[in-house]
Amino acid sequence: MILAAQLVVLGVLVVALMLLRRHWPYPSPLIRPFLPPQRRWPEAQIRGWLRTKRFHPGYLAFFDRDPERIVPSGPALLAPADGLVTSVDCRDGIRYIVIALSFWDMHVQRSPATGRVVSVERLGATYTDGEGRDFAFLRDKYCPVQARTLFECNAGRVAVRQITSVAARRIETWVVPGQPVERGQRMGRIRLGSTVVLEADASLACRVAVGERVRAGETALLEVSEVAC
Amino acid sequence: MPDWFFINGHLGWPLFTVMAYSGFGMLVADYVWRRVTMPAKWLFTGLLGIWLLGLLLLAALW
Repeated sequence: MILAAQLVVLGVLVVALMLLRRHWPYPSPLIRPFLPPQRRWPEAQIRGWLRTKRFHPGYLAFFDRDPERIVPSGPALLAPADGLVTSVDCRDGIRYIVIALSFWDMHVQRSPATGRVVSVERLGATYTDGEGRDFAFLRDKYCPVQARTLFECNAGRVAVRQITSVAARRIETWVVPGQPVERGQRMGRIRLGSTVVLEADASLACRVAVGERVRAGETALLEVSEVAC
Repeated sequence: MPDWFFINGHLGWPLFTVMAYSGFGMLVADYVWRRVTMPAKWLFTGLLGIWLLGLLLLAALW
């Protein structure tokens, strides 16, 4: 009886150690649920899955999460995506707020304002914005694929550009031209994609700085009533 | 067969305890290594120290 109990305990430990060895250097399934997302699925492991196209189902379920958001009141333009602000540059009268999404960010995009969808364009593989202007932040991407959704709202014409690479290449846009949208409404998703750009009039005061993290449908990016830039 | 290896029809308690403690320690070390951000050398030294202390404690209890 005692021997059986000892063997059971040692057997469980051996199985746990074999799982650890099998998944090394990535986390064993035994401890994975107890780790924060960035440690649960390390970047090197996700990049490996991108190459083989075989993703861990737990990671895909995590990636596809679509949590509810508490949309703040006010006229400010909201962040269309979760992620890190990497640029807030103005060019030719337009401010481009570039939001970089990591593998662990929520990938559902939301409308920045209440208004109406004017157009949804698919721009294909390009390094420019479709009007000849160069996007330097796309240079390190492998053949970006874009979808540009143009809204008419209280801040005039505002566009959300969803950008991904050929490696991921799946942009879902859930709104259609002519459709009215609410502030913070879900508008699309990038599957394993990486960049979302909010384009708005350069006269709108910017409320975020490079390096800040923003949340889709919650973080105010541009003040509609003020003048800046 | 020595007492510490096999006694009264089961594994000797010292052997069993050291094996279980070491195996469990490796699992905990893996978890800690993934949670804590510190130089791997410090972490390894710390975990090795804790493991050795545990062994000494077990030896003292026996």
